[in-house]
Parts: sequence; C-alpha cells; structure tokens
Amino acid sequence: MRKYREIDWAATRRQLERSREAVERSLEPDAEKVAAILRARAERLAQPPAAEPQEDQESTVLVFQLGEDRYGIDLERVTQVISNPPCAPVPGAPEQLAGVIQVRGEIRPVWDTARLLGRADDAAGDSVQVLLLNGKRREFGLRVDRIEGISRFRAGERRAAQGQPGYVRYVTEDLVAVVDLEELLKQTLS
Amino acid sequence: MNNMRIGTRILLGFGMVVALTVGMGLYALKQQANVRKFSSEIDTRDARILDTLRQIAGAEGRMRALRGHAMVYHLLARQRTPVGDPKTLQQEWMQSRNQNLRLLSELDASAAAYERDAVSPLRKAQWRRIQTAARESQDALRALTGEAEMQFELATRTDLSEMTRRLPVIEKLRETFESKIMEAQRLTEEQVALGRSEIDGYFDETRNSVAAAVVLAALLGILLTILIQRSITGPLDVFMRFVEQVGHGDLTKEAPASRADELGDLARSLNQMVVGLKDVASQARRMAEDLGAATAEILASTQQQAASTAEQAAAVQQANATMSQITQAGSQISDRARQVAASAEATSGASSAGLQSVQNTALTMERIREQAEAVADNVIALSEKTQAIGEIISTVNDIAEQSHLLALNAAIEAAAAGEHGRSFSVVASEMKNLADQSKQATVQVRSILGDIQKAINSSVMLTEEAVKRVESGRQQAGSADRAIRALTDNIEESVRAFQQIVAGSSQQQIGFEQVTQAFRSIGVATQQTATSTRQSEKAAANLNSLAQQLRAVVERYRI
Repeated sequence: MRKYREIDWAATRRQLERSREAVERSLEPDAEKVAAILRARAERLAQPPAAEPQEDQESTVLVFQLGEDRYGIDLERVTQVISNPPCAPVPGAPEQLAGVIQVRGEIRPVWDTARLLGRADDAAGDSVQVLLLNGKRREFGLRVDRIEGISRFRAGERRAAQGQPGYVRYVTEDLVAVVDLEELLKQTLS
Repeated sequence: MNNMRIGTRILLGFGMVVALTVGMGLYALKQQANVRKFSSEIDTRDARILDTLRQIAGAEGRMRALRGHAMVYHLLARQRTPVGDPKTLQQEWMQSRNQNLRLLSELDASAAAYERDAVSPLRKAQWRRIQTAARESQDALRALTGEAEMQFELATRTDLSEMTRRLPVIEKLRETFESKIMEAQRLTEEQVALGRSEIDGYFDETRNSVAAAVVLAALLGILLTILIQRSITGPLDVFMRFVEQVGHGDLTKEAPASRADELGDLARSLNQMVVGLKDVASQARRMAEDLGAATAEILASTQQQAASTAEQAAAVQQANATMSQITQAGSQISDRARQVAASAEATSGASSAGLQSVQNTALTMERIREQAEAVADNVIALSEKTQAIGEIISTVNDIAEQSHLLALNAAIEAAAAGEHGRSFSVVASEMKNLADQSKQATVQVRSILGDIQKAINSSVMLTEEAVKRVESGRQQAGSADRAIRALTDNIEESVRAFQQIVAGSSQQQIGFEQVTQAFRSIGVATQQTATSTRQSEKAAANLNSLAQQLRAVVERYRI
C-alpha cells in the first residue's frame, strides 16, 4: 500500500497567496525599489571613464563570429550593422559574392566572408548579420554569422601572426584574429 | 623272499631258530653223554689196571715174605728147631708166582684190548707202554722164578753159604721185577693222569663246541632276525616317512605298491586313504574358502547392520524428539485453533462493518473523480494563459534584439564621429547593456515559462492518472465488496473447520502420545538390537578368524 504524502492544504493556500503578492509587487514596484534601482544606475553612470592611454597602438575592433572562430575588423572601417537584410543573389557573379542589398536607396555588394576566408564548408546560420564597410570607392557588405560587440585592444595584448595566413594582421590575447580587409580582398579577388 | 608273506617269513625264521636250538641241545646232550662214557670208561679201565697192579704188588710182597720165611726156616732148622715144611712155603710161593703171572698176562691182555679201542692216540701209546711193561714184568718174574726155586732148593738143603752167595742175585732180580711193576704202576698212574687230562680236554672241547654252536645259533638267529626285520622294517620305514608326510599334509605322493605281500596291501590301503584324504582336503579347502567368504560376508553385513542400527537408534532418537516437538506443536495448534476460531467469529462481525465501509468508499471515489475532472479543466485553462505569456515574451525579446542592433550602430556612428562622438559612444554602450539585460530577462522568463508548462503538463497527466486510479479504486471497492462477502462465508466455514480442528487435534494428541510410546519401544528394541548386533559382530569376527584358522589348517594339505 503506497503511502501518500499528506498535503497541508492551508500551507498550500498561504504559499499561493504569497506568490500572487510577489508577482503584483514586481509588476508595480514601490517607490523604495524604484529609487534603489535609479540610485544604482546613477552611481554606475557617475563613475569616471577609465583612464584610457592615448597610444597609437590602441585600436578599437568590431568582433564577429564565423562558426566557432572569432575575427576582428577595425571599427573605423565599419559604417553600419544590418540585421537580416533581404539579399539578392547576382547571376554570373563570383562565388564569394553573396549578393547585393539596398541601403538607404543605394545598391551595395555583400561578400560571403566564410568563402573569402576559405571556410566554404561552413553552413550559413539562421540569423545573418551584414557589416557595411567603407571601401576605397564605395561601401560594401560582409556577411557574418554573429556580431559579438566592440572591443579595444592595446598593443600589449597582440600576438604575432606567425603561422597564420597573410590577411591576419595579428591575434589578440583572447584569440581574436584581426583581419586586414584590403589584403583579404586583394588575395581573393586578384 | 620279497614275495613271501610276512607271516610265512616270521614262521620260517622262528622255525629255523627253533631247529638250531634243538640241534644245538641235541649236540650238547650227545657231547655230554660222550664225556660221561669216556670218563667212566677211563675210570673203569684205569681202576681195573690199578687194582691188578695192586694185586701184583701184593702177590710180590707175599712172594718176598715167603722167601724170607724160607730163609728163616732154614736158619731155624739149623738150630734144630723145626717149625714147618719148606716145601709148603715153596708151593705157596709158586702159587703167588703163578697168580702174578696170570695177573700180568691178564694185564697185558687188558692193555692190548684197551689199546685197540683207546679214546686217544696218547692213551693208545700209553697202553702200549703199559703192555710192554707188563711183558717185561712177566719176563723178569720168570727170570726170578728160576733163582727163587734155587733158593728154595738151597734152603731145603740148608746150604746157607750158597744161599748167602746167591742172595744178591735174587735180590737184584727181585728189584728188577719190582721196578718193572713200579714202572707199570707209574705208567698206569700217568695213564690215569692222562685220562684225567683227556677228559678235561674232551670236556673243554665239548664245552667249546657247544659254546660255538650256541654262538653259531645265536648268530644265525640274529641274522635271520635282521633279515626278516630288514625285509619288514625297510618298507615300513618308507611307509612311515610317507605317512609322516601325509601327516604333515603332503598328499601329493604315493606309496610304492609293487609288492605282493601285506606291505603291498598296506601301500594300496594307504594310497586309497590318501585319495580319500585328498578328496576330504579339497572338499575341506573349498568349504573353508566358502566358509571364509561367508563369514566375511556375515561380518561385513553384521558391521553394516551395526552401523545401520546405530543410525536407526539416532533416527529413532531424532524421531522421538521430533515427535515430542510435534506433540507440543499439536497442543499449540489446538490452542491456536481455538483462538483463531474465536477471532474468526469476531472477524465475521467485523466483515459486515467492512462491507458498509466499502460501499461508502465507492461513493467517495465517485465524488473524487468529479473533483479531479474539475481540476483538469482548471489546469487546461491555465495552460492557455501561459500561451499568451509566451507571445508577450517573444515580443519583448524582439524589442531587445532590435535595441541591441540599434546600440551597436550607434556605437559605430559614435566611433565615426571621432572625438565628438565619445560621450555618445558611452550612451550607446549603456543602451547595449540594457538591451542585453532585457534579453537575459526574457531568456529567464522563457525558461520559467517552460518549467510552468512542464508542471502543467505533469499536473494534467497526474490528474488523468488520479481519475483512472479513482476509477480502478471504485472497481476495487466493488471487488472488495464481493471479496468481503465471500470472506464472511469463508470465515463462517473456517469457524466450523477450526472447531473440527480442535476436536481432531485432541484425538491427534492421543495418537501422538501412542506414537511417542511406540518410538520409545522402538528405541529400546533398537538398543537391544544394537547389543545383539555387537555380539553378532563379535561372533562373526570370531567365526571369521576361525574360518581363517581353518583355512590355514586346510592349506597345510598340498593336494
């Protein structure tokens, strides 16, 4: 004969009541809590920006991902990030060209970065991000899997690009390969 | 000789010994008679001769005396005193002289006769010498006769001087005659001595010959005895050795039975006896072996019996103990049966109450089912609410992602603006942080919503299961209803059965006591059996050793 756990119905009712009150409190925070949140946020904002050494070696990089690998591009070259734009394939174009997109009424080419880097086997993910970069004559796009964010690297955090392809300028401490775009395009399209 | 019967042989031997003895006795008697005859003859002859010689000596003495008388007469006549007639004296003398002559011739004749049939050559020669002496005596007497007549003539003439002158002559003649007579006498005495010695010799000879005959007879007897003894004991020794071997158990030999006498019969009888003994020994050996095997089997089976008797005793003891336990258990069963009968009666009362309870349970189950269905409806409504929450969350997520992209582009713009966009880049970074937090919050809410949906699903399933269980509980209550009814019937039947058990167990108790008594008897009997089995085992062991001894005894016979 199975022994069933005795249910304390009064305690259950009390617990349900407490849950309901907690939900109401979180949806309509009282003044004290709102003040606390605002205070914490103000303190964080009031902190002086970290003393950033103005060295030539410091560089700001946009970090993106292709598959499992992380790559970086100088932020000065990036003009915009577009999420899931409608991309039109161009017939007869080289295979590295993913297609063309329309940005603010202008047509821009979008390169398939995986193919540029020789990673043709990587399947494109569901979510596609396009980086718009200012080239010599006009802007062009790079299709990547995911955009991680903006990072700053000092010269001390660089590693030599030994044993890497020629388009890799250097590799950072947290294993981000910073790419020289001109070199990459020159290599692949020449 | 070997083929002569032993009786005949012994008879023959004894007959020969008897014949020898008789012959020897006859010979001894004859010799004795010879000796007697011989000695008497010698005695007679010698005595006669001696007698004759004494007579001769006597006559010669008278002749001498007469001659003296004649001298005396003469002398007296010279004195003139006649005393007699000398002529008478002469006549007398002549008479004596004739007598002597006659005696001497008689002696001669006797000696001649004796010489002829003398017993020995010595005596014959002696007789011849005596004869010679007798003849010489006769001659001497004749010579004396002339001189004596002269003397008497002179005496008559009384011629004394002549007489004196002639006296030495006559005296010399007379001495010659006398010496001859003496010689004859001496010879006769020698003959007597010779006869004596002859008799002695003859006696000795007889004795020696008899002794020799005795010795010869004894030797012959001994020889015969030895021969007969050899002829009997030789084969008997063979038979003795044979019988001794048989006595030592050697039955492999045979006695020599080639003879035709009693020993041959004895050998044949012995061989028949050995054949019989062989038969007996082989039968005895077989029987001893059979007996040994049988006694070994008896011993083995007796030992087995002893072992099994011990096991039986142990088993009986165990069974006895078990029986006492069973008896105890029987009384406990009886008590328990009484208690169970009482409690079964109580149970019979309780089961009707149980029946009522089961019916109540069925009703309660029905109500529980209805309420559980209501709970399920509520939960399903809750699930629809969670769907709305999910839609809201996805909207919030979309907003967060767009904010993130916007913040990123703002940061790019700020970077493009260079030094002037620095403060704007801070704002963009803050925006990006907020967008990330919003996204994280939506992720948490989505996870919580997933938990809630899982909980709702499991609640629905549990409720469904609860409904099913309530249904099965209702069915079980129905079957419990039927079971309790059947149980009540069974319990009443059990009460009757337990009453029967109580009655039966008291009878069983009596039976157990009888069985226990019987086991005690069996135990006593088993101990007696064990004792007698031990005795039997000992007896069987003795019998076995006796059989082995018997076999050893019989083994002595070599067939």
